[in-house]
Amino acid sequence: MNAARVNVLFEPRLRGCQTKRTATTFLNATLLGISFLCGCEMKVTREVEARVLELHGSSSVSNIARLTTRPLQPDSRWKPGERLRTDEGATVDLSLLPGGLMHVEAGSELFLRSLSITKDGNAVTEAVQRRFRIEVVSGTILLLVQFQPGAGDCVVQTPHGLLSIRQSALCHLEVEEKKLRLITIRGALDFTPSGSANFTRLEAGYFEEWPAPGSGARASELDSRAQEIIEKSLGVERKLLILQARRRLTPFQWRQL
Amino acid sequence: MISHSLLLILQKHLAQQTFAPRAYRLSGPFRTERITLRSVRLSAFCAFLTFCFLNATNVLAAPVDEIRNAVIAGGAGNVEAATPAQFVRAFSAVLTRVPERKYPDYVSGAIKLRSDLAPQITVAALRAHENDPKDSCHWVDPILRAAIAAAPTAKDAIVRAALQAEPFSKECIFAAAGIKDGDGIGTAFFRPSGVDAGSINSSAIGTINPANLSAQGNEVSRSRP
Repeated sequence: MNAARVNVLFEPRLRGCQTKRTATTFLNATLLGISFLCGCEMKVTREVEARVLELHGSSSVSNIARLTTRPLQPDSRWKPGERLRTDEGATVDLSLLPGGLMHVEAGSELFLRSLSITKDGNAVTEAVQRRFRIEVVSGTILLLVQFQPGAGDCVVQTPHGLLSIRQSALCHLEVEEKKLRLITIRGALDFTPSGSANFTRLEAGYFEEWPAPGSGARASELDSRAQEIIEKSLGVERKLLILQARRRLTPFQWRQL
Repeated sequence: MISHSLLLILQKHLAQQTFAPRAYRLSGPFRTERITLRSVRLSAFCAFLTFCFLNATNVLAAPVDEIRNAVIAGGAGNVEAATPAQFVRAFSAVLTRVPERKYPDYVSGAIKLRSDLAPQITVAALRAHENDPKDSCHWVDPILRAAIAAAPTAKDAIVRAALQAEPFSKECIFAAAGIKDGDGIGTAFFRPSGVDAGSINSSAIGTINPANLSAQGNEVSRSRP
């Protein structure tokens, strides 16, 4: 009788203990899980510099913060925060990142906003994350991306809108004061015009101009100028790949010593 | 158009021949139902056949039409009057829109239009394809085979042009062309400069005899006397 009474008296307290124990176990498991997940992510991000692969004519790089300008030399670097200008008749071939190459035409002005590589030492697939953000103020560039970028990883900013590369692509971008002309030769791109929330996807083999004259994307094969640009761009792409391969095969300085 | 009409006549003929006798054997309400069901099945089958046939003809016809339109859009009066540069430019532009697995069809179509430009067309297709050096045979082989099949007389010129465009895919190109590496045609392409077909000049290409190394001022192993 007494025992039963005691049980009745202590039952709520026992129940409270059990709940507390469950909560503690759950909390411990959560903490263990968080620490385990955090331990798995070993990401290291480094800001990198673009390198000149080949140069024709005279071009210069200016640092806005330090108010310095230096002429661009073969094998010189283009750092984030610097502005690149190519003079008339000049062209520059650049290696932004491994697998990210760019050809800059004459009379162009570009600003390198950011350029970085993130490596996750514990990642099983795609351990390297490559990111760049370039602002094309004016001029013409050919951009070659040979990797699968994540959302917002590879961005080109123009006065007419934002260009986002979401897959391996080759694109030709022509920025004028009042017009932007974009030709996708390989892959696909997303373009968000300034002041618009919607983006336009431009597939390979099509070109479009902004502000759009109303016709939207058109097939490149049915435009004489687009045909010429594609033909030239395919040649430049080959040259960029050869230059990149040559750069990779060049021994480091410590090996030459 | 003619093929489509022929198929329609065939469809009508088949419907009459196959189903009329069976339909008369049945009686009552089953007769109509069976006729309707079979007619639907037959119509569906014939429509499928028609679709397959028309699709197949489209696959063969489309590349030629697309290339022709592109050449005219590029500024040429017609395909025959187009300069090699104009034709190749238009062909390259067409290829950018086409999935890479369909390149052989377009190569065949382009060579059909301008067989005199077979090597240039092959090189344009190889160049337009995304360069994947890890598995070059996978894409070089079908393009080469299609080009050679479309212009068998220009085989040597096609192989030579392809080797210049893709020198690292030498084995794939030879395999696609059915040329053995040891054949005269194969070795002729890769004869180093300074080497004649009959005589090899060692001073031009360097020595292969280790004994001559010291005589030419090259480094000799210090471990040996």
